[in-house]
Amino acid sequence: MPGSLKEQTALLLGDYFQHRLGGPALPPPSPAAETLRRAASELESRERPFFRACRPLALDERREPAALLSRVAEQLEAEGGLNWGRVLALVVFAGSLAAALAEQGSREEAGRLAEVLASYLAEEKREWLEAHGGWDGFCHFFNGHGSQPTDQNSTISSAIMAAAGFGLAGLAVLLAVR
Amino acid sequence: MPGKTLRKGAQQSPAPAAQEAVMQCSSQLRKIGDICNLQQKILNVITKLFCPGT
Repeated sequence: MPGSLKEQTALLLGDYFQHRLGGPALPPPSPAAETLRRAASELESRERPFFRACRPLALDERREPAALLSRVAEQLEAEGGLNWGRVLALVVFAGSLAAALAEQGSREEAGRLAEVLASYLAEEKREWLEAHGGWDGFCHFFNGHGSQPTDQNSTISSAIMAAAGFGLAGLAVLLAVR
Repeated sequence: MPGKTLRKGAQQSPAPAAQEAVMQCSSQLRKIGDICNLQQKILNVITKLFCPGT
């Protein structure tokens, strides 16, 4: 992925927030952006009650939702550090706050959340990101070790087919022995 | 008056309430993130085992 980590992060989160807030249906600018859209959507669907319950927080602290996001990010990694799952959960959380703000007409404040998150990840957590392969590492992790996002389903299907193949072969051997 | 005391307490300490919300939120996000991370790790191991070429 070309560009500095800061640029990549800003581009990636900018695309996700725009996608999350129902902006124009543009194609994702990079494989990492496509992966983030997919993985975030899956996580948000799976944990919908929690992310819905978080939305009023943005409105309660309407004067400073960016400060709320910073405090949550700080606490999130206070125990056990970061991992890609926690990074994804934080991005989805920020997206939920941004969506709540945008619905109330505070689109600028929603954009500010993307900036705060990009700055937190690319500056404060730069070392961690670099040590884990940057956003290519994220893409790699959430796509089952390097396959393209669109290949994820076929990879899982192949894994299931392989497992089924082993099972059938074992059954055939058992029948042959008897 | 219990209601009055409660309201007075809430007015005097908005910061601890906000801090409590931050703690609960981050704790839940930590759990969600860790589960997601573990699930993806297991999926990656399965993929690597059965589809080593991908």
